[in-house]
Amino acid sequence: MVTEYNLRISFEQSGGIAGLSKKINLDTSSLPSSEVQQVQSMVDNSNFYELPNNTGQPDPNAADYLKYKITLESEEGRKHTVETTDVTMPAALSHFVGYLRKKIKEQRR
Amino acid sequence: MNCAMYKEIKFEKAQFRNNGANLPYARVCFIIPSHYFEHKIKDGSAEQRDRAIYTLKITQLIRGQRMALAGLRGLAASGHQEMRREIYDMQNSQTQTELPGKLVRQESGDETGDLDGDNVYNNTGSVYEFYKKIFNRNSLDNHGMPMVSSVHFARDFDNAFWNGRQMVYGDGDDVDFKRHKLAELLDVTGHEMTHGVTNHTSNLDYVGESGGLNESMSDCFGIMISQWVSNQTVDAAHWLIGEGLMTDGKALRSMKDPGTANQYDDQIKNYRDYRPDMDVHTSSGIANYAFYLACKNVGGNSWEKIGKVWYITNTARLRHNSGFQDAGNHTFDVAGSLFGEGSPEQNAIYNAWHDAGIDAEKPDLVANVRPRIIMR
Repeated sequence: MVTEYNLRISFEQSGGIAGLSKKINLDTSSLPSSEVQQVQSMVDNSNFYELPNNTGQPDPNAADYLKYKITLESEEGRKHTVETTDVTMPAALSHFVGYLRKKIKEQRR
Repeated sequence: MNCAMYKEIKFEKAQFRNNGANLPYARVCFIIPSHYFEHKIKDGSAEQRDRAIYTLKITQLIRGQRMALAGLRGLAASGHQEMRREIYDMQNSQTQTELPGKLVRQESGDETGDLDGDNVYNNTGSVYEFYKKIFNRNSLDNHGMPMVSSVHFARDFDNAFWNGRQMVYGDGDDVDFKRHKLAELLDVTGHEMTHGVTNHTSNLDYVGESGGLNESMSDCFGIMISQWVSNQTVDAAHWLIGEGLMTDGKALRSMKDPGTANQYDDQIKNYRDYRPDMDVHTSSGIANYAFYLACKNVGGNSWEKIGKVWYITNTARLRHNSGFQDAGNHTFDVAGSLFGEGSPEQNAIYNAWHDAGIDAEKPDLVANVRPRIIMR
């Protein structure tokens, strides 16, 4: 049984060796329902709403890593932002970020 | 090694890191005569040799003497004397806590048949050779540290980075970056590895002006390495970072004409356009442009004269919070020392920085130079 799950996702990517900035806004109501289920499980498995706003300061010696900013906003107004990077990303978040990176590329095609 | 002496050296070394603070001047007595260490260097095991060389280097720093090792041929750079490369495969995992991943090739190991892994292995070797042959630098820390690289990080990943301890390469995705190119391009490897060199030397903060300088050092040495391997003069070279990497666009960056490499390239080439909130890859154009102009002015090969000035500046002059003015001042001053005040090389550097919006001045060496321990 798929419950109603409407989410607005804002995903920004910046830095990296190219220093490029990219952004995408996604509304789950515009996605096929199978994908909505995927998103729901990725959000749940990453424990997104329990993650801190910033997953940690990168090693000051690190360089050229990508920086990510993810904001989730539900229909009821529940909103949470997480900032992370290639070098500070918690393991549980990497699958969701991989999905969001792919969506940004789809937008540009 | 005598424990009392070792502790003394460690203490002095810790104080040495305290940039800018008043250093106590201490009387340092050495219990073990230096010929003990020379004997270990000649006849000891590899580990004994490493430790002996390291001790003599610290001694040299403490005494402020010129190279205590100068008489020992081929050992001026300390530590393990051959390169040690290690290639790992992340198997498309994006979980950075899993780095480095699965070991697939060690030094002198056979080709793996994986294109990215084998390319990174070769490129890492070229970068090591460049630093060793041109600047007598033994790996990133000048002490023979192993050079660790991981390939196949994440899926369709358009990036390569230095995580503070190792290099990490994505596959590319043929959307932004062509597949396999990040691992193939020598200047990408040179760029990433130079972040390691910078960490062990100037340690430029990765933010603001020092961040732009940090990025520029990686581009400058990355481009020098690729010119060196291809044996190109400054006139023959294209001065493009990551040429052929992008699916649409010439390159990632142009040192010759910052801001023109691709449609998203927003690099600046003059300090008057600098803003503190800029990405470090944007402001690096200022120093990149100065390096390019100086090299073109002097002619020949970039690594011979201007490259040498840049190397000395990054490894012996700049501090973690140095800015573009400091870089202009120190390269100007180093060139004066190396080639003479008013020499064509020094003038080239002065004019180059001027065109990039910085008017070089004699630096305040007491305030800026990383402090040395002085014997009384």
